[in-house]
Amino acid sequence: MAGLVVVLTLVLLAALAPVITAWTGWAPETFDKTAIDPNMGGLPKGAWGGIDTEHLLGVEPVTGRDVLSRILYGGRISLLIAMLATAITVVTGLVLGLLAGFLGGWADTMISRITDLLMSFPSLIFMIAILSVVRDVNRIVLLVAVLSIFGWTVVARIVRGQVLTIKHREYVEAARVGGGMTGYILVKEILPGLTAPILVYATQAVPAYVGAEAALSFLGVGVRPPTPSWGQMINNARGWFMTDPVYLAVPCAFLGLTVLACTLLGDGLRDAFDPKAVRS
Amino acid sequence: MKSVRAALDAPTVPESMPLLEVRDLAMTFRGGVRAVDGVGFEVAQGETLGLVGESGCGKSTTGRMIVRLLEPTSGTVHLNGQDITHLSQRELLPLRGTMQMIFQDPFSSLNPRHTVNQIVAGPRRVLGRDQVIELLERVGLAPEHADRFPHEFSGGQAQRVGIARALANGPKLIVCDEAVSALDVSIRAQIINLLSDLQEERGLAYLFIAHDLSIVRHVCTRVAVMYLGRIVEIGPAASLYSDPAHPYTRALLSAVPVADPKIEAVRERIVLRGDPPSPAAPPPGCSFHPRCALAQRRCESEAPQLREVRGRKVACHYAETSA
Repeated sequence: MAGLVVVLTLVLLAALAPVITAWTGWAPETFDKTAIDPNMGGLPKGAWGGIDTEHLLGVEPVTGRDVLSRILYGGRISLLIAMLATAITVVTGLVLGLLAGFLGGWADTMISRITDLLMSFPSLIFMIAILSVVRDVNRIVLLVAVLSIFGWTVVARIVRGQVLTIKHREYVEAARVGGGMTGYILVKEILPGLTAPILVYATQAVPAYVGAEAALSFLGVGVRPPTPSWGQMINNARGWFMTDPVYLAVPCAFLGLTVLACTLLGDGLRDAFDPKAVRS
Repeated sequence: MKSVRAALDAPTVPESMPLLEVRDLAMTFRGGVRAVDGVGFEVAQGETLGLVGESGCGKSTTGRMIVRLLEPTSGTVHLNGQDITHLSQRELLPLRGTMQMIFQDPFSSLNPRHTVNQIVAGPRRVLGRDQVIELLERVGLAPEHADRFPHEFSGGQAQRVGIARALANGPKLIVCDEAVSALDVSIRAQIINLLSDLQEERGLAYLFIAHDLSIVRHVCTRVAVMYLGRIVEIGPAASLYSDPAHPYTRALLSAVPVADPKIEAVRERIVLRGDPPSPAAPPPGCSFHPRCALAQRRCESEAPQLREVRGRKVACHYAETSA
């Protein structure tokens, strides 16, 4: 439950970023020269990274941009990328895993070999290479595409394994004897048995992709400035953590909170989808 | 219940034609395992044929070929005179109402995510909710069970749900694949009684698959004993039990305990040596000869065919001498 509340809050905050920044009065790209101290090399004025009533989470060193505003807009990008990538990987993996497990034969061989190939690939190096080589493309679309290409294999494996066990259960045979056609058996008999593992995977994939996006942006191949993202902020804060630790702590805290909340949500969903957990 | 009744009143086949006719049925799995090797029998309307044998003898495979969960490698299955051996799933649809199956494990044969109502109504939704409830009451469940999930039931109740599902289409033939083997002894009797009541009421025919001759005794008109993919003895239940002709049937019967302790203490028990041979490499000649007490030189080379002995069919060279 706590996970659900935190996840919903984060999503809501990200979605309402323009409203909130309008209310605080500080857009993510607005410089505030009054909040930093030029004599200290651009450090924010005041303790705790310049946190005060004007800038609720402090300001960025040198530029004086509002950290809260950048966190919210960065969260939009991070969550958008993570959710899109999760949706694409789950749907692709589900369809291919179902086909491989249910049809067997050459379809299974083809899909399984592609899965093996992609899984044995050094995906991080490949992602960095592609992201740094491809230039004039929408970075968000590119990030989603690159994360999805390597992500669906895990779902396909889980689904294939589950389908292989479910397909030989007696209740599937019973549905055949009852006159169920292939479509019915896939949708009504096999798919319901897959919801729990897939939901659990999806809720773990979202934080994993938030992390991956942050890692790639941290390495400088992800979301490009001026678009803010959490990984980019952590990367910027790296150079300031001795003098302005709060600037590093805030994006890290949001990243950690998102991952933790999504994981808790995954556990909760798994319990909710287990028919044996709710006894009446 | 209307549709069930309607199916019963439907024009039936001529008396002479058996409801189910199986000829030379064989199933070879990948890797050359001959799970079933030339099995043939008939089931008449309203009768019960028991199919008995050790695990791995091919009795379940035979049952699955008859309801066409498996496609036989060779041989034929005729239902109501129609050849259904190689029909596609779609072509089988109209026949799904005629033959149904009850499975061994009541829990794994009920989808844990479906309500009883969904399960009994079946993939084709042949029954409305009221009819489902009527059917549930007939098999000894309460109307409120319709909205429950399988895990909320005991094994016996779950098997009743499985029976209700099999009855939903108004079948003429039900293949009971070890339908009571997984149940407690006390519940077993209740389920067997329910099955016989339903048989009388609806003129059902059963193919009753079991590994235990004692269960089969109470329900079957005729019994077929299988060993390593073949029928070794088939005949009326009464004579097969009182006077088994095949040494394997005798061994199976001697394993059934007798209730009277005096008889139990002195009766002769035949203990089979070793395990049944692998169906991937059956022994030459009579496949039972390595474990048979009567085996002669002839049994090692010449496979016995089914032939008439004392009013039934037996596949043993020495069936006459072994009384």
